[in-house]
Amino acid sequence: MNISDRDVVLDVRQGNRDAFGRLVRVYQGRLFGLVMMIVRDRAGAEEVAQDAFVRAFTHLAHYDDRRPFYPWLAAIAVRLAQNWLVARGRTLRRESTSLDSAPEPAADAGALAGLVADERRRELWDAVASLSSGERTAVVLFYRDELAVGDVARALGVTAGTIKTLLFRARRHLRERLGAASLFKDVSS
Amino acid sequence: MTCAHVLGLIDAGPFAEYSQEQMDAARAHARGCPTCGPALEAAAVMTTELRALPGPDAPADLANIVMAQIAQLPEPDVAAVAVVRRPDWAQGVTVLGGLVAGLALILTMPTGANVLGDFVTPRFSAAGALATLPSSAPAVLAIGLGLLLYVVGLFAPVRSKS
Repeated sequence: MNISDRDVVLDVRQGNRDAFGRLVRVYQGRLFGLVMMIVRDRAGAEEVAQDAFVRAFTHLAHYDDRRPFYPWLAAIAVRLAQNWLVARGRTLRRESTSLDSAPEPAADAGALAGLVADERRRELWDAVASLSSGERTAVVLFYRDELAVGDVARALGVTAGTIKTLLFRARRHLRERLGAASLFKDVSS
Repeated sequence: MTCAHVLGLIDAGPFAEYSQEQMDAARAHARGCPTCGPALEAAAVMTTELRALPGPDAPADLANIVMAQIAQLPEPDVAAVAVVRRPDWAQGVTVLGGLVAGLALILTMPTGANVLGDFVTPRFSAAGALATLPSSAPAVLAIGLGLLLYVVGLFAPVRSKS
């Protein structure tokens, strides 16, 4: 955790609940992207992101301020997103309860991709969104959010070895999906 | 080094458990391979792109909605935000107690052979096992003290502070 997050948490713990707004503003983009990638539904992502922040506030007593804040917040969001998927009773139920590697139909991928303006970035987002639940969550947490493998494992409730396997499979699937030509095309532009 | 090895190494990315020699061999293979060379470079690009993976913008009013919800929470929820943590000394006392008890037990334990001779193997005999327990008062005292410290540290009351 950087010093400003720690200060904010201490401030909130002293009764200044408005101070929590700073943490919300700092992390809302990262958290919303993570949740969106898991639930693949904008309305659901909004609901889960809001709930995650409120849960983080009400459970701040359980947060160890010697550790970074975002991984703790992300772990809450991942659990809530999984619960949301189960509660919705979608056919994707198994993705919320297991981390199997079978890619699932990206039913909402088009809607997701529409939220990312740049074409190339949309292609990458779409490719990641088409991975299995465990793979795409691990990819977002490890690469985009730069969490350590141990923190990703805690967020998903699995071992570090499982995370490494998920990332290995994810990279292979992305390589197959995007292909070298596609990647180089973007580099040269 | 085959293409399959090199592609596996590429997919493993930062978690590849290869020796330096194997890495060098893989790089040498990739330099001259029309399949692995581009794949290796593409993997590096992929890593860079994933680190910069874009996402949809959060709703503009997300922070306001969250803070409005928080503002509506009753006061006890704010009070619950106070830190609940075991005292800092608890862990040290637990470790110290365990060490004292353990060392006292090890240093004062007579061997079964000394007590019973060579006719009884303590490992397989209840009597032998009892005979290996320390019997001197200082030893018992030290072990008891260690265990007491261990329990005190382990069950130290959780304190709450804001």
